[in-house]
Amino acid sequence: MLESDLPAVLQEALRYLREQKMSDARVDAVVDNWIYLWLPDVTLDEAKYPAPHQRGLWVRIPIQFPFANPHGIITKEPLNPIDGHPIKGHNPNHAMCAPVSNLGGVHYYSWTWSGEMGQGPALRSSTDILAVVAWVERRIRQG
Amino acid sequence: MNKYQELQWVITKKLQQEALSTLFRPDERYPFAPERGFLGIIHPGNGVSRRTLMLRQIVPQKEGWVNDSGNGLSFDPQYFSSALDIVSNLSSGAGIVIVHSHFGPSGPIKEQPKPSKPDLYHEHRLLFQLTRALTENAPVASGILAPNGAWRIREYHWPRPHSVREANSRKFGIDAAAFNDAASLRIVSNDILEVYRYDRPLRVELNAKAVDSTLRLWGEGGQEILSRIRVGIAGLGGVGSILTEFLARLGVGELVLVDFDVVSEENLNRLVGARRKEVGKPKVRYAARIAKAAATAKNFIVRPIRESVAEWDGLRHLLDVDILMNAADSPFARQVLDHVAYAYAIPVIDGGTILLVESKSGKVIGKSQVGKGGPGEPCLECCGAYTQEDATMAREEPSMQGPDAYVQTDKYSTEELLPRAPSVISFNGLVASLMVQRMLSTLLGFPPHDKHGQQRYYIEEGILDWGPIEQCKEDCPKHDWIGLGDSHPVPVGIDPIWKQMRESFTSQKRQKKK
Repeated sequence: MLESDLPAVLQEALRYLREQKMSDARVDAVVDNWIYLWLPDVTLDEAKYPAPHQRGLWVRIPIQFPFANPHGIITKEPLNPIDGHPIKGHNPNHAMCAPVSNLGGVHYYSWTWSGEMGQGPALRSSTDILAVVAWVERRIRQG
Repeated sequence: MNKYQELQWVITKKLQQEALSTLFRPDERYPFAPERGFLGIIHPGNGVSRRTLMLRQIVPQKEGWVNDSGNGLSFDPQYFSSALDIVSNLSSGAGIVIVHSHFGPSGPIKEQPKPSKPDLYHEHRLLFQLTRALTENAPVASGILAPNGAWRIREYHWPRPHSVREANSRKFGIDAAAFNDAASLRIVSNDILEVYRYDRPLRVELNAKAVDSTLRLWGEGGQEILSRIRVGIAGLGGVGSILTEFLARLGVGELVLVDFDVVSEENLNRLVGARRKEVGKPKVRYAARIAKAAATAKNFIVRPIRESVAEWDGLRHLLDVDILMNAADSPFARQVLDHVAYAYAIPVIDGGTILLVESKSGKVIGKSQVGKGGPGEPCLECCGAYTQEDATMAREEPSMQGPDAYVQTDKYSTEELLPRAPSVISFNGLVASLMVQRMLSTLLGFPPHDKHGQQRYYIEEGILDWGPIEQCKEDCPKHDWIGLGDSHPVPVGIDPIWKQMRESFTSQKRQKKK
């Protein structure tokens, strides 16, 4: 599926994300109800994670965004905090990685929008795509 | 435009009142009252056999913008310009309706007023000009409204020229219009849903003996309403199968049944009337058989559709109905229908039960609940019938989903509970009965009156009560979607369970071929 075949609201969200935050964000895979969106510059907390503090990762976003929530992220390298504590929901080589495994995505974190770290903000419009980036960064910070 | 068998005009009760007060004054009587008019913003909603035009807004007018010249109604260019501004600021799909008052002797609201020849001549000309100022597929229509609330709506479609030569050709001229008259009118409010069908005889022939007991309760008028209505049922499991039989026996004229699943040995304990030899057959086929056998309406129609309501192919069939009964227990389907209830102004009556067993004590807890979404009602999401997170997880493939739950239990920690097969025929019957009562209240004004939100049966206490929520949360946007139709992005997608089933058929077929 091409990006131009995605629902108009999601296309609008992707445009907004590129204009406002990450011009190089791209859709690397579309599988059923989900897109694998590559976020090239996610900021990691310097106090909690070793360098590099700007890393790329994929976030799974539903094609019905904003009426369904993001679910899960996929990274090339595991997220290893400086203090060594294990990150919850880490599933290396999980089936969810398959659509981007050829691009190096092999660590699946099964994080939900209203998971253990509390409810993410209500998603209402295409511009809330920025809240998704903030959610990913906050979730990584909280470990 | 003509691929649809039927065109329906839809308006909320609130807008109906606004339209009537714009066109008529209580102290004026025909033939001394001036003719009045307005421009309205409309959105289409396309089902499989029915196209719906919904009035979203009456464009405000200034003094002198609409004039009765004595030789037909004239609209000031500034008024058209104001309407076009609104349309251009909206998402694609919006169009314009020109409406004028229709005085004169008129019958009951179920009788369509007839336009005069000068009316048709004028509206034809006005709309031809207007259509050139709108985008290619924007709908244009004309309407007349009688003081008793009856409408006559005609949608026009002109082929759009794509070259100067075409523009000068008669094939693209004013007389090249195709048109379609609305065959039905639906007026939606939080209390009563009114449906008038102009394509059927005014008096419906009733099977009086078969409906004798209900005729005594709501009379021929009520029975006629039921026989004219088209009801959709989503999900034909324990609740949906009972609903099918109840509605057919009550005298509903037409049912659209949507489900992708098959009858299995495990659900013979709750599929009313299912036969052992039907195991492995689609539930819609079994349910259609039950409906035909039970129907009391003359010329009863049932449309069985083996699809998922969470996908366009299934949902489109339900956009043809006047009211929807949701008995599908997937939060994905429930969310899709919650959107439909507002965007397409089709009331959705929703019901289900959760039964849980405490792992230590074996105690059964849970509740059954029935709610109604649609204009004037709190949405199913605000009432807690599902959360966006539930609906999100239901989009994952089955192996990634947790145990499905219909109702969130706020009273108990789910870790202490062992979910068991959540469907028992007695609770299904209770839910189906409450859903039908809600439908009768919506269509016939049958009691209970002035009740909104959810009706709940608390299993432990054996108490039937109304839930606390009577309106949507402050930040809920659903009431802004009313009448947006196809302009609203209903969150359909791929139903992972139906997809898995389809893949399994395909691989079985391949194996057979080998």
